[in-house]
Amino acid sequence: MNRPNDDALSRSPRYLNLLLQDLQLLVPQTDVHMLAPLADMQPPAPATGSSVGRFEQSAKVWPIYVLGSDLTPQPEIPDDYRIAVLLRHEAMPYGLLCRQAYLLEGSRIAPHPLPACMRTPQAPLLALYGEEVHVLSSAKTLNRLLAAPG
Amino acid sequence: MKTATAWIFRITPSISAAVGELELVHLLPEHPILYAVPQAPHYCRHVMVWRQKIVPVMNLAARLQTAAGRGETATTPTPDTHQRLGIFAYRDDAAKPAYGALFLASLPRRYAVSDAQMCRLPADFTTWTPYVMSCFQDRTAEQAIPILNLNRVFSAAFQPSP
Repeated sequence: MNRPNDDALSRSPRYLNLLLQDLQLLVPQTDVHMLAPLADMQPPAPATGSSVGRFEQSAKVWPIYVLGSDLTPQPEIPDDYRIAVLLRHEAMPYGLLCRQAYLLEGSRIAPHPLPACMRTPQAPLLALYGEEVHVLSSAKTLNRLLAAPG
Repeated sequence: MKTATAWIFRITPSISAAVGELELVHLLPEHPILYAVPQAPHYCRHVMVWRQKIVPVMNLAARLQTAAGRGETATTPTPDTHQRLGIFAYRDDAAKPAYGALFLASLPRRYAVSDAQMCRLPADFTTWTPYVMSCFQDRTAEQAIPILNLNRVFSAAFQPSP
């Protein structure tokens, strides 16, 4: 059975595919504010937890995070991470670093509920794109993982 | 006397289990591409693609250890201990066809089971109770073999009693 918001998450016309180290993470395009090069990132602001840097634009600050394969924040930036994806979030805009990011058409993505034996409160949805499995999440859900105690 | 055919396989070098003849639908000779799923339980951290379906890949021994309250060990099968992946078919709670994969520590062998071989689940298998339909005595190996209830095995995460 799908959870609240899963249906809306599954019907986005386009998704941004973020290549992490051993994970392909899809977020709806509507959750994305902009992409920025890592070179423009500034050091993290004080008291922003596990962020590895920040972007500032129009008096707004986006703390930037690196996610591990379990989608929890990591302290180190892998060498091949080059792109920051700034995400829309009402309460706390934030960004994620990744190796690459590109758009995929929603019509070519088949969302798939997580198998029953794998479901936990924070587990994401899955999606099939061709023969590849991607993880499907949203800025709101990922933000809860950033806020969760380690 | 009624007989039925089962597949017997090892899930660890010393522990065997069985399923019905039609429940083992595919044996993968080599490990397929496995995709890690974030935040998934330690005994089922990966999925694979099989016939355009996303199938969970489970380490049943690790699941049973968790059910026994033995913590999160034996999470990563190695080629030395688990040479094969088997794809199993079952009916879920809504009676729809469903599929799951288990790491196997041996090649499955076919075995004819008669009613006379049915036995109680041995005392050291009590943690298997939620995941087992019945049990029989394997006269070849001289051991009790639990018959898996695959719907339970691949159902929601085990919740230990408070």
